[in-house]
Amino acid sequence: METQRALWPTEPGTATGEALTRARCFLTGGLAIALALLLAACSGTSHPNGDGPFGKSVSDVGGQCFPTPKGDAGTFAALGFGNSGGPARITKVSLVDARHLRLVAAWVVPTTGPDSWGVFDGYPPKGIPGPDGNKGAPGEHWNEHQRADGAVIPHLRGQDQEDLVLVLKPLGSEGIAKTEIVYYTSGGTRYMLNLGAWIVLVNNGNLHACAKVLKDPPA
Amino acid sequence: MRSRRVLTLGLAGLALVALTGSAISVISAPASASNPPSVAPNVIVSGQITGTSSPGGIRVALYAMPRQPVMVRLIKANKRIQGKLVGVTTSSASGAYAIPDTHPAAISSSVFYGVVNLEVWAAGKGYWTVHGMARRIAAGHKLAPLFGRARAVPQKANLAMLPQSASEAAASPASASDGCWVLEQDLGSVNADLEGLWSTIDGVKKHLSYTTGATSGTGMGLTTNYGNSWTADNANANENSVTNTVGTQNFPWLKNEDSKIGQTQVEEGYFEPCQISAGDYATFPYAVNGGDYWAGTHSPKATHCVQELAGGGFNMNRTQSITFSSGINLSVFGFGISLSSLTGYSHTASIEYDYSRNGFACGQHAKPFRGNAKGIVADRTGHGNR
Repeated sequence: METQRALWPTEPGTATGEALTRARCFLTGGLAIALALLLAACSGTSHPNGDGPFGKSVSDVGGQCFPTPKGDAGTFAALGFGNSGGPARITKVSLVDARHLRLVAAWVVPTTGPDSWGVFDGYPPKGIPGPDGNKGAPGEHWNEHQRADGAVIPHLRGQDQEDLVLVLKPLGSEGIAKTEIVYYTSGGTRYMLNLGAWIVLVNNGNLHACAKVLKDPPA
Repeated sequence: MRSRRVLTLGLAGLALVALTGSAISVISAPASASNPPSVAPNVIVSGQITGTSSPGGIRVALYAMPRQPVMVRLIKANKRIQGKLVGVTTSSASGAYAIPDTHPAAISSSVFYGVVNLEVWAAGKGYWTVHGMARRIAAGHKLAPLFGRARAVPQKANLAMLPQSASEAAASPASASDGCWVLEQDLGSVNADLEGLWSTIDGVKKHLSYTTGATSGTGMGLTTNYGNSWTADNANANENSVTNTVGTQNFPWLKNEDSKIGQTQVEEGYFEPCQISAGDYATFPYAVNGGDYWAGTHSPKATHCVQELAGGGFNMNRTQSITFSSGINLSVFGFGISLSSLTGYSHTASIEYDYSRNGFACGQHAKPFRGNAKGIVADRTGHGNR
């Protein structure tokens, strides 16, 4: 359990965990807003550039639906980005048009190979390295993970990427987000990266629910 | 069928096409061999004349071909298909050329579903060639490749000249590059590959749909009757574009380990340059008929994997599509040639994979949802089928 606490934040759903999450969000969000306002004042622009060193923003690329154990969280770790520029700092990771879906935690993890994590149920997610000693995908360097908000991303060579690990909790029978946006600064310029994939977490224990969602996707 | 040698442009290193970054310096033309290169900002296409010992003084012209509906109407009426002149130049003594956009209206009036078919024509001194390139109109009215980043302009196209026979040369004017085709033979419907659905495991249902407005890049083949054997090569990016306008095509669901390539039908034509009537031809699709067709396939190597859960699934609207190097097989017509084909960019094939058991989704060139996954294989392990 000690190891688990060291690797993963307190489980969502507990008073302490949620309070910590809220406090973290408040502080990070406040800092992000303050930083954004400061940068906007300096640069004279109000909108960050959607095409930057993390890559070009995309939209409508498709999406992912997956089930979670009833009342539990799930982990979506199928997206990522590179960094063709110098060191950059992520100011915030946001879900767009999220309905009945709470972002419990967001991590960035360096990845150097073709393997990636994908989607997992439960929290902490099964299969991602943790107290059970599972090493997960060999190219994923979990020991170098950072909390996404505030993470400093170095220049990444070639195919190297940072995978975005989103821990999500549906608050109803279905939690939905239309896309994910990574806000970041690099070289004094603000950018945003729209990853463009919708997410649906099904929380009703019905294994056929996603088939219905995929026939009529939310985005 | 007359004996012809068929060459797709780019044959065996003759016609090399490379997409280049925005920072490329291009060579102005016409210029003498001694003139240093200079940068011309509005150059659309540049490159080198190859395949002839005398590459200088060749007229090279860029044409915007008619919009697809106009093209179809002209072909059905058996009328000439005349491209609009975008720019023209003469190759330098060393064979370098660069064509600026001197007639922007020629392009803007030829756009269909955001895409324009351009053709570089080069002819003279007993040689001839055409290079087709489909371009989408990106932000700021920039011309961008049909697929990939918008910054990859201008196009670099080295033009491999095809030698003409004496009779062809005699029949041709000194600089036969008028951007004009006449239909020699309508080949009718041929199947073109759209997208593949692949699985190496049971418990995955797969679906493909293809919507109105979907644009395909397709190959373009050239022939000349110089020589007497067929030659085919698909290692080039010579292309034109056709767009599906007939509504959404939903393919039947594929279950379990079934893997197939979805196809639709295009109209293929066999065309002759208006100014040359002695054996130089081109073949390319000019319209989409639509319809759903399956072709058998084996799963390609796909090793960039993410986990999928039982009861979950994904859809991808933009698979940054696979280039099928033999996407249109014309051998049935005796051409001995297969043209490449790939699906569209902005409104494109959509794939859906539903998992009823835990498994993985593996991209060929990248992980699913990332830039160039290029087709997905449902697999048992996170290593894919490496």
